Amino acid sequence: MRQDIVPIRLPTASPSWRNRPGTAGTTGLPGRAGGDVGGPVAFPLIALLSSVGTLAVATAYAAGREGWPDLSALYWPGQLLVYLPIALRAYSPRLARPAEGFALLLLLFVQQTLLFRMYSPLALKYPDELQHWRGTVNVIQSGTLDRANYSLPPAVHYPGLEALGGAVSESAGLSVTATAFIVAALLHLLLVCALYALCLRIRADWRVATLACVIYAANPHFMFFDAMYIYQSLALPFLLLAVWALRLLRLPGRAAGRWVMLLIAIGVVTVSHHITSFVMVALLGSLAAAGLGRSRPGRELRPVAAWLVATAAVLVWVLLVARDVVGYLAPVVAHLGDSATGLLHGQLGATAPGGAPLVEPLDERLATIGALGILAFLVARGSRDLWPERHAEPWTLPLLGGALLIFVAGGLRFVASDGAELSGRASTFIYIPVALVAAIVLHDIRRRGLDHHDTGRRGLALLGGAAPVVAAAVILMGGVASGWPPAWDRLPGPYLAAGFERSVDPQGIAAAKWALSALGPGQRWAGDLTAYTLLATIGDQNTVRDGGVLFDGRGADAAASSFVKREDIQFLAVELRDSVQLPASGGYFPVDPNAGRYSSPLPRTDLAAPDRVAGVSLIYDSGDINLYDLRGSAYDG
Amino acid sequence: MTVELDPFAPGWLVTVAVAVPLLGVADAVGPRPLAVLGFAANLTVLGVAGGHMLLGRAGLSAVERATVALALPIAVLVLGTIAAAAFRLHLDRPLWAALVALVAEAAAVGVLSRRGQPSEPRNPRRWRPMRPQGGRGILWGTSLTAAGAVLAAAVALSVWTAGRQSYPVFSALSAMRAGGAGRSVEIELTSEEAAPARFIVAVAVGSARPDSITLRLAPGVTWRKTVPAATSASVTVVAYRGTRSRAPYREVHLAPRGTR
Repeated sequence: MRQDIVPIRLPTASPSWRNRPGTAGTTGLPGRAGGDVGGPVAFPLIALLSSVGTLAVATAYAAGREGWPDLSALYWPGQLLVYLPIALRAYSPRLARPAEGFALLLLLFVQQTLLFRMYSPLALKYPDELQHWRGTVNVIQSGTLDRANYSLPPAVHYPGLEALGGAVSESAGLSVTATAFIVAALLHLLLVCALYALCLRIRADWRVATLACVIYAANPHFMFFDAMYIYQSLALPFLLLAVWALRLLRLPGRAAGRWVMLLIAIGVVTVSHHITSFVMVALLGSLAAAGLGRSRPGRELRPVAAWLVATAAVLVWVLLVARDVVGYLAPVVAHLGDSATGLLHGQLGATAPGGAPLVEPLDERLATIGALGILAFLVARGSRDLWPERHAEPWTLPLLGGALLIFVAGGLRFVASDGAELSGRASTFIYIPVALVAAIVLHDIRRRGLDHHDTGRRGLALLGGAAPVVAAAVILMGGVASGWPPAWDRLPGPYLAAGFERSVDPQGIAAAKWALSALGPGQRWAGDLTAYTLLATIGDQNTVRDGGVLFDGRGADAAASSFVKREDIQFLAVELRDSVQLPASGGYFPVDPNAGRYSSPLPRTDLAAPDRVAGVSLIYDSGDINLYDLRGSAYDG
Repeated sequence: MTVELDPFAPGWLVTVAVAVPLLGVADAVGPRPLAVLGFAANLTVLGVAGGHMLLGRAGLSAVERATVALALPIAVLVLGTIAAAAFRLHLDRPLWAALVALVAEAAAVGVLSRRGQPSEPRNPRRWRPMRPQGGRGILWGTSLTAAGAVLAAAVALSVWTAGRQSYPVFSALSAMRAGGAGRSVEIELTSEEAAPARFIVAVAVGSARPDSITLRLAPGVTWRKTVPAATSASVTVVAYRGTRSRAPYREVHLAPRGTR
């Protein structure tokens, strides 16, 4: 059979018998495993160790809920105990079987999925998940995909996840919450499998594929954000499957089936998530360009066809269905432009207007920088090593180009005023090539180390043995520290003002449910960040993001009246706990020009200002939450 | 290159092809446990047979086949549902059951139709499963059992502490004008206190003397009352906690309408 995979090979010395990579077969699986020292025993012990780590994190979560401050310190040791044994085993030359390598990945998936869900094991609390919970409920209740989702308007035009969730919930008779738990876990598993399959296809070496997946699992958003019940979680694995199917087209036979697989993957990405679909077009475009850039005998036209199909699909979808996505994303692009302009004027990151302060603890900031530094070093070295292979393997250049974007992501943290979030979001995509290049380099480093390990210098050998442990620990800590949740939100606990999931409590949920039952869906509301989240998701209300002008204590002045009329505000939600707590996330409102600048909570008298405005009705009072009816009042003119 | 017959046994495939529609019917209209079974079985058939039909087995690793078997049912539910919505079909359980059954049947028939044709060679490189060697079975079993027990303890601890996490207790009082012309007011008081609590609810319409109602609410119980009130009259509702309290515990008020 013709060998169609051209693995990217490093120009290295021949590997020793202990770490001989698999023969470059169609899947890179070895015919016979190499040495098997410690293999059978290691996996169960690693499973036990990492499970103890999960228990430690669960204990830290419990400490957060119960107020046991001493035990909350178990969080970081637990995280390290989950990750390090698996990472070190994946790096070890004693890892001798692909089955064990993949079992390690499954083990890591199980542990990290539990770490994520144990934060809130009985209910959805993450605002992003609540948005899609609302969308799924809407699909089930209406039997259509076009019912408005006020909490996330673009999701109506990217209804892939809601379609999937609705189908599973209805068919299996599960609650939407249980469905979200199961579907999110399955999609996360699919992401791991798809990444492994893609790396295996590109590199044809199961050790590299295993290592790449382990490195990717330490990216800032892998464990939490990318494991959520959100539309990106559906699109991301299918993005990888599209590239994988494109790679499969190099094999002889079955071309029609592989094209169908490719088209299916492109279709799912297109209808599921805007950003991922744009990344897909860019990625397939880079692969197409790389294929076209070769000399005529080896020129590849299939990536060009795939790119044309993907571009057409995305364009048609955006122009005919998701026409609002441009308006949705425009503020983000404009914000980036403003940040770049600010940079030219000497305003870096958090010093720019509207920028949130860098509130991460110093050690976490150092870990973030350390992780970026280690990965950047590996990418730089990988670029140097892989550069000669660009003629033999056309995907080398796109791979390196993607990996080098880690420098852009790193810079984004300092350039943009909310660069940490943007950098974290971008890392979901950028870390795919980064992880693969880093894995290739690490595999090579380990191989070279083994070839020279008997030089007799014990000190250096010891140092060499400690280096992977330290590097893995820094990469994981940096990833977790720079991802979600932030430091103040890392453990569950009591209510925090403007604290995203930490603000989701029974009182807020009760107010949102009351709004839906008493007023019906789609009423126009202003409120703080928590009200914005809960009213729009659980309450199915139409909330605005920039209602701060109604909380300045000046009542129905010209600015407030103008705002109410312009935005057609009917109701106002006031969270009185905003008068006793500073906003945990930096701002009280979704769009808050004073974010990061509050030195004291909002004055209680300011929050009670609507009580003094003629014609305003206080229609709901639960102690901490007041809901007002502004219709016909002085606000309404 | 060796040529071998497709490894899927014909009897198995025929059984699947016949069973799929039945499972679909069970999924669409059957009682819940049977419906779930039918749905899951047809999704499995769809994934395995669909992957086999599209990509075959040659050259694919076990992980890749499993990945396709997981991805295809998801893709069919996503794209099929969106297509059905585009045709203005009502999205419900029978539709999803029919969708999954149809595609699963097509995949099974697709695999059946390839019977008798020479298929690609199977991937000669197979994963050797991990098995304990040299009497290490006890260590394996003990370690894995302990790992499972530790994980179960972690989950139990999380569920237990999340279930008993204490939040501040509260009660919510609300009032909304109701009726076609808003000539009445609906009052609700929901108790989320830690224990059954007594309340006095005073309702004042316009300048009339307030009516007081004494009630006792268990946690999670909502008390409702509708009182007549003209839209031109203001309404104030005050809830007092206990029977002797003079300080309002909760208070809502409705401004008169049409006065501005």
